[in-house]
Amino acid sequence: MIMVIFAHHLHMIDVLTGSERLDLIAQNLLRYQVVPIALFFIITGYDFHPARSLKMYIRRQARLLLVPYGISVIAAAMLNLLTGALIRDLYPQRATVIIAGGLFGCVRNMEIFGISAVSVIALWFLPTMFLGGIIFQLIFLIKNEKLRTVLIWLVTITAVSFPDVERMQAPWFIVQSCASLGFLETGRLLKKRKQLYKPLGTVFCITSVVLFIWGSVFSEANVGDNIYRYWMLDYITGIVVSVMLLRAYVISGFAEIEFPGISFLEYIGRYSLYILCVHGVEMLALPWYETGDLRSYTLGTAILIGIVLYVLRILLIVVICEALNRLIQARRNCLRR
Amino acid sequence: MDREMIEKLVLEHLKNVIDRDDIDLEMELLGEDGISSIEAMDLLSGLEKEFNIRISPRNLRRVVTVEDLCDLILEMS
Repeated sequence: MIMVIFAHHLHMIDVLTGSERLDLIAQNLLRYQVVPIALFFIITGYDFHPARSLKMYIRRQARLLLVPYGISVIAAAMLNLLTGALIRDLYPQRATVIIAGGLFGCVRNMEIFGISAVSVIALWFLPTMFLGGIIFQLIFLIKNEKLRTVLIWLVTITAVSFPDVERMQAPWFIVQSCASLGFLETGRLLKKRKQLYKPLGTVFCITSVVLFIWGSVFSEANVGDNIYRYWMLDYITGIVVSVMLLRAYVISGFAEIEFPGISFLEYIGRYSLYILCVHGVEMLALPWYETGDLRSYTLGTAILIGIVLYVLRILLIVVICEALNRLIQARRNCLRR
Repeated sequence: MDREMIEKLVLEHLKNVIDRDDIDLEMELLGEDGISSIEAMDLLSGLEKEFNIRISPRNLRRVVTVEDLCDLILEMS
C-alpha cells in the first residue's frame, strides 16, 4: 500500500514540479508498475480455495469489495463537490463525472454517450478483484485440471493482448480482471506446491533481477492501464519478481522481527483495504493539485515539500482509516446489543 | 474472563464478520469453509478491541481453528 500511494504521490509531485524537474526520476521509477499489483493478486490467489456455493461467494465478495467501492465513489463525489465549493465555486458537474466514472468503471477519463466520466484512479482495484475472483471461481467449476490451466492462461494472454485503456476502455475493468487470472493462478500454485518454503535457485533469482532491471529501464507496463510494452514478458517479469520478493520475505524472517514502527506497518498491512478506499477517495476529492506550482522552488525544496506532503498524506489516510474502523466496530457493538 | 465467555464473544464476532450461522469452535478459520484474509483482519480488529489485547502476525502462526483463537485470547488476556 505504501508503494501504491508513493507511486500516485510521485506522479502528483511530478506534475506540480513540471516535466523538466523530477520527470526523469518519476518516469523511470513509475514506468514499470506491474510488481506491486502482481503481488496483491498473487497473495489473493494464495488465499484461494474453490467456493462451495458460488452464490454465497459472490454475496460475500460483493459485501467485502463492491460495497466499499460504491461507498468510496459516492464519498469522493460528495467530498469533491464540497472541497470544490470551498475553494472555487459550487459546481455539481464535478460530482456527476465521478459517479459516472464509478458506474462505468473508468481507469482513464472518457466520455460515455456525451456524459463525461473521470478515472476512479486507485479504486479500480476493488471491482477488478471482485470480478477476477468470480471468473477464477467459475473456471474452477471445470474438473479437468489441464483444461482449466489452458483456459486461465488463454484468458490472461487475451486480456494482456487487448489494447490499452488509452485506445479502448471496456466497462467494469473486465480486461484487468481477466488479466489478473494468471497472477491468481500463480498464487494458488505457490501455496499448492509450498514453493515459498523451497529454494528458488540461483538461476531463477538472477533471471528475476535481470528481468526487473530490464523492465524498469526499457519497458513500460501498468496492469490498471493494461499497458504491456513487451507483452507477456512484462507480465512474467511481474510474476517472477513477486515470487522472489515473497520468498525473500519468508526466508528473511521479517515477520518475526520487532523494530520501531513495526506496529504502524502492520496496521497499514492489516487495513490495506480500508487504506486503499480512503486513498482512492482523497485522490479524487482533495484538491492536492491546488497545493501550488512547485516550479518556482529549487529542486531540493520541491523534493522536501514532496516528502512532507507524502508523510502528511499517509498520516491523514491512517487517521481517517482508524476513525472509520472505530465507527464500524461501534456500529457492530450496537447491533450485537 | 473465563473461557466460556471468550468462546461466546469470539463466535459472536465471527458471526458478525461473515454473516453466517453455521459456525462452531472446530471451524478452520482460513480453511475451505472459513473466512477470507480480509475478513480475518476484520475479525482480529474487533477481537483486539473487545479483549483489549494486540494480536500480532507472529501470534497467529499456531491458530488454525476458532478454538485455537480462543486459546490464544485466553493466554493473552
